[in-house]
Amino acid sequence: MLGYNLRLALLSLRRNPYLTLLLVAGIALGIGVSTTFVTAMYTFAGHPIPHKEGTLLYVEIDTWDPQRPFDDDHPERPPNQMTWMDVMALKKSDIPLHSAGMYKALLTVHPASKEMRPYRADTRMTHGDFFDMFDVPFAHGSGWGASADEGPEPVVVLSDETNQKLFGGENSVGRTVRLEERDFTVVGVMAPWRPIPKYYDPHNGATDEAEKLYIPIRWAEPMEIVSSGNTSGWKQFEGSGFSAFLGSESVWLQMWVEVKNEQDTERYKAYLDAYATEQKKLGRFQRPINNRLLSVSQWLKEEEVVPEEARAMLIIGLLFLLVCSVNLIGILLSKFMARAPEVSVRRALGASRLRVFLQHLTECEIIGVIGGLAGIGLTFLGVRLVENLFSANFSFKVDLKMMAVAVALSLTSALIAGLYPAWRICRIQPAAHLKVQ
Amino acid sequence: MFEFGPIVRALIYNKGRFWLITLEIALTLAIVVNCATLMLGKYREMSRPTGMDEENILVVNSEVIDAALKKQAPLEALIQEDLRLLRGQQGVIAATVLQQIPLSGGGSSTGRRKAGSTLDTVSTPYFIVRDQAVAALGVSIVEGRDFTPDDFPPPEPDPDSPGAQGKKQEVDRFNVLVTKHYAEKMFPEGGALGGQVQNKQGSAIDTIVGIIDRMQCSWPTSKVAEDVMLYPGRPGTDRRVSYFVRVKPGAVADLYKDVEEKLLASNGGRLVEVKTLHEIKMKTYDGNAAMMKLVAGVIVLLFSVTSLGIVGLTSFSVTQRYRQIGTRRALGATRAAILRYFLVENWVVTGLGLAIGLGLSFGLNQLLVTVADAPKLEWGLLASCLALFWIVGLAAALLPALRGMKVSPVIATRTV
Repeated sequence: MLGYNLRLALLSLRRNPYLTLLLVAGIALGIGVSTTFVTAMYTFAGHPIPHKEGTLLYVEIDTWDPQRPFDDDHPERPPNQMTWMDVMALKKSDIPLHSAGMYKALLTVHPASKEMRPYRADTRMTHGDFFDMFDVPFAHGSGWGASADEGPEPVVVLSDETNQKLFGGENSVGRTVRLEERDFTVVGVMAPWRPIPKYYDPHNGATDEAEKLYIPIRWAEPMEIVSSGNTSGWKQFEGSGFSAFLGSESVWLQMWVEVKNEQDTERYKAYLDAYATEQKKLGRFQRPINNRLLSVSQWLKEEEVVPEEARAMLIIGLLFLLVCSVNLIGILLSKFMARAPEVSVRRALGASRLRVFLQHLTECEIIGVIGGLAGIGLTFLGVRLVENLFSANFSFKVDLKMMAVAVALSLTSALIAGLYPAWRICRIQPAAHLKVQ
Repeated sequence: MFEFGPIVRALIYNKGRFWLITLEIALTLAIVVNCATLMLGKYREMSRPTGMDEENILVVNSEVIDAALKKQAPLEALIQEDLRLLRGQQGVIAATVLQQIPLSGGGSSTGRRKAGSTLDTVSTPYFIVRDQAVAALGVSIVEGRDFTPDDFPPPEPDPDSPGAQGKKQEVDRFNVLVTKHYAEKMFPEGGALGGQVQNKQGSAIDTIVGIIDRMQCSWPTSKVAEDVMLYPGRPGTDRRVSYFVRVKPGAVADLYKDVEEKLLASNGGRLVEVKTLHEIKMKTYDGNAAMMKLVAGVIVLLFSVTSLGIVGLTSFSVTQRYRQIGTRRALGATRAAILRYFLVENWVVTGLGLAIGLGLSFGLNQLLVTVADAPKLEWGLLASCLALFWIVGLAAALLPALRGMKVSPVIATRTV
């Protein structure tokens, strides 16, 4: 029976190709627009590193002003960044599997080639654990070890892009790169890496690209490298110069730890609280102890990385699909009702209402399948359009999951749109139509 | 009047189709009105006056990279030389240095409260500026005065010279300029000119000597967009310095081209980067412009889908009623009467759709305000959308109605 229904449906669709095209185009447009916005939302709100949810933790401790909370709108939250002193102290703990403090800086790169002018590049100052913690893919070499953190040793990890730019893409491990006035040895070259959102530091540009260069964080001291991200302070510096800044209560670093299991999370939490109690004795941490360890998803939720526009457009996109479906109902109704005489003959010859109903639904679902596939094509187009429009320096994730969403949306809307017209056509009175023929 | 009664009865008889058009129009109106509101919000945000002569201001960043030159820090001599050079160029009105760049999205802010009060401190965006700042930014002073040379602190003494140690004052006192918006916020009962503000500890006290009509800070989309404090100082003593050069209208393009070369010729060993303040502003508003285009695209697509739908359904209803039309024509109805019938029918359906759409619009707006911080609906916009829809609905129905009008009375007699 299904085969027969399919044959009838295809016949009917072929009989009126323009109308069929209109039907398919209508639903494909709806799918294209809505899936584009679903994809945008999925890209921003998706989990960037799902297998480390709960073990990869963002560290927050309340070092802020005793007079008032860091964030007046959320007084229960500690500052969302850390001081230099605390990052350096907490790095010493061996409870976590990995831990890394970090911040963003701008360094001047002096290319060896005389044809290239010096330029400034986004650099991440961090500990060597950064690379294992965030599953950074390497094309050549690797990150640096703990001894390089301590020294600090003049080592650098290059992004794929920087390696292309400076070394034409060849294996540059062992070569040197001049940063400011110092030579750094390349120990690793990343494969292309584009975390979206940039979850390890969403506070300083959630959709920015990952940094171009990575060097040990302790170079901050001898080279006096300031942060190019946000810095917040509440207390005047004691003394002057860069060392006063490093010793100040200003918060400008991020700190991440990776633990083995929940037990270690608890142990690390206890360690933080003990640290805070100890600091209280020294006159710091005058607010109530409020230390937090946030999982990646909790952290991204608090940092509100999903743009409000993406949310608005998701709603509008889905409503757009609804309009397309209503439109589909109208056209299907006209198309089916025009076939009343033919259906009357079938009914008179003994086809049940159910059979007529199912036959017409089959036709709708065929339109749904074709519309959905065409919609996937339009989604690719739409996503590229949105990327270009926002001069986004990243691509939305149109993966198999999104394609499945497109087809599912298409089949569902075709089914819903087809119900009423199919119901109407199966309930016609054959007699009325047979009489006039 | 007209065939109102028969039209309504015919609509009730043909419920399904009639409700479809109504629903489609209602939904389309709700989406379009809300999209237009989003667009208008984005447009308004970016077209607010910045208070500055942004089109005629060149922002010239200079960053010393040469090691030898870097050791000469502070770069006071280099900055003075650059300023002299810039001020001497053709068409230049004024040139100054700002420590941060307005409208750029990155800046500094501090906490201030009325001096002597126990109020909470208020977030205060500020710029440390050199002389000629008011002229170089093109802002206008509505009350009080511009900075005078006496307002600027002397160049930092050589830390090794005798007497430099321990000379630091307990309290930093400066004469500052603030925007009118900020003045009214800090001194709601007046008296801002000559008034004083302080930081929490009282270790910095600023006296307001002039009030600027309007100037936006580094974060033009924030709540403190129009709150600005200008500090007299000597910014740019680090390796990086941002010159602000205001030129006469028409002279921007020439200087834009030459300024990098001229600065490098006078002093190499650095990176120079030139932009107009307007370019910096537009980069900050990139997202707004893109969002407006995106929403406009959605509106156009939606209009096409809905008009096609109306054409299709009206067309179908005309075809179905060929025989009735023929009968009416045979009984003496004029062509105009037939056309009128379909148009009035369309008006009734569109009208009902718009009425329902009005309710949906407010519902959707409420949702968008809650989840996406969208702006509220405005009646003016709503009214224009309603008028537009009425016309589009009418235009979409016109084509099929004209076809119906041409039906010959003979049709009525043919198959009976």
